[in-house]
Amino acid sequence: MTTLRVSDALQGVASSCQALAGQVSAGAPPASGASGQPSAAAMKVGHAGVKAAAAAMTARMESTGTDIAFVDMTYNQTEAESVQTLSAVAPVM
Amino acid sequence: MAATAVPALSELLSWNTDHLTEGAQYWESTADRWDSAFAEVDQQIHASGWQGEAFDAATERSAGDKVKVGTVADQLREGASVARQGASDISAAQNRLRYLVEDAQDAGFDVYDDYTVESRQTVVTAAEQAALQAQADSYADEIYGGATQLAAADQQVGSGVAAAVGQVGELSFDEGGPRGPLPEDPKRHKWTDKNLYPHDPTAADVDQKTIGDCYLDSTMAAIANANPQWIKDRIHYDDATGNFDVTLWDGHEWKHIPVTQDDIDTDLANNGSSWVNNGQPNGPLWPSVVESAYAKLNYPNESLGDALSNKKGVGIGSGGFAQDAMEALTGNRGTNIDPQMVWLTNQHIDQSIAGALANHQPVTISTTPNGAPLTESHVYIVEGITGTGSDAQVTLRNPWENNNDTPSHTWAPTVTVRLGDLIGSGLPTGDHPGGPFGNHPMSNVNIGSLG
Repeated sequence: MTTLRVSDALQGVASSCQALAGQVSAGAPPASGASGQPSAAAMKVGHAGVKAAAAAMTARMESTGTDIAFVDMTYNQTEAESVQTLSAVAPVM
Repeated sequence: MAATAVPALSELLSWNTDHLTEGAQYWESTADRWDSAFAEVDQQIHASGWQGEAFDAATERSAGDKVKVGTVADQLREGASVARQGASDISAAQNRLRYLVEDAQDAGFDVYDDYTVESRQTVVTAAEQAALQAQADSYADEIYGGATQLAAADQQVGSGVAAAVGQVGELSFDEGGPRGPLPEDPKRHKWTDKNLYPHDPTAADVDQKTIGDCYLDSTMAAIANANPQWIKDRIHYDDATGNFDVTLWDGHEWKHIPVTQDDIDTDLANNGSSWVNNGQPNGPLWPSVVESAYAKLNYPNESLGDALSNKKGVGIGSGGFAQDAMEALTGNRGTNIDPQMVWLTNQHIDQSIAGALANHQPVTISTTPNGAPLTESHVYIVEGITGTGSDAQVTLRNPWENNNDTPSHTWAPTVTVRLGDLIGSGLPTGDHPGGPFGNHPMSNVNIGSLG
């Protein structure tokens, strides 16, 4: 049952990606501090960078999960389709 | 003394560093979360058991992502480190400023928001006035200096943080090439051991179509009826290669015949003997595996397509003998009874068949070119016998899985006939049954011995 095991594992990876996609952008930055403080302004810019990077990672993670799920589905479909094609061969006697 | 280069004193004294320490903590935990998320995906893909080009592409991608995210996470950690150190520096500078202000106040001076310092004392002489003013100016210079250092420290921390994390927000992933699924993994095998036996092997799993190998199909079907495990023991699947290793006797030794994924596709495309190519895509695959191996054993120099064909001298479909197939599958030719000769050998066919079936031995019968009431030149699986002697009723399964195009004209896969009608009568006719001197529809009873 190795194929099933691989398929299960790939489905596991795909669902992990979906879960981790949420985790990489989880959390919120703390308050920024006094507006006139240069270090506070720098931290604020840094937090914006973190938000942008997290968004890119979330998208990447979702994309990886989708690709892997699609590989698994494509494989199963290919298998089913090829079997159906073969079964169209008419029996003779 | 006007202060223009630095913020007002009260503002500097109100600064705090919570945004730096809390921000550093947030960045560190975020960096750890990013690292672990992409490492987990990379590890899971590696551990999936998946193989092949698509696997390689997926691991290359996940490993690349892990490195890229790791770089950004490290930038974030560096930013956190700068922020933590900066918080310490800013606090120290702010404390120093605060002490300077307190010192001046304790000495009797008022310190104002614009960094001017004035004495609270009342003086009489011009000399006293000059001395107090000089002291006030000195405090003012020190306090302003402290303020300048605090402002510079904060500015420096801000620059350090910006330098450390400035690239973080520019992270992007190359999704180059057309978006869509990864290529299918060629090493993900279409046929595996899970296709072999949806249930324990049985004669009904075999479905002969256009390949003329009734002798093989009926024999393996009879063995499946007698001892399903015997069939299972013939085939071992290797997921690493996708090959099915089939053990067959070549007349001298047990041979391991590899049946590849392509071989199975070839067998199915050539109307091989499983139901998978006849409306049951999830049907048992083992008949096609055994059939492919038998063809490769007998015609090792032909392509499998030819080895399965009905071309005489080229393929197994050109006909053969049940005992040959029995030998390949069991290592011996079994007991063979020629019904034409039983008058001479004094064998009791009814008892032989009944005893063999009771003993879980495979039994087939072959018909002559004059096979009526059965079809001619064919091999049937013997599934049952009732009664004794010539009037015994024998139940036979046709490997075609129907008997429509036979004298029985039924879609049922099994027919029951009188044993005496199969044995026939008259003189032995050799290869020319049905002549004026005798009629013998049945040419052979093959009883296998599974040891």
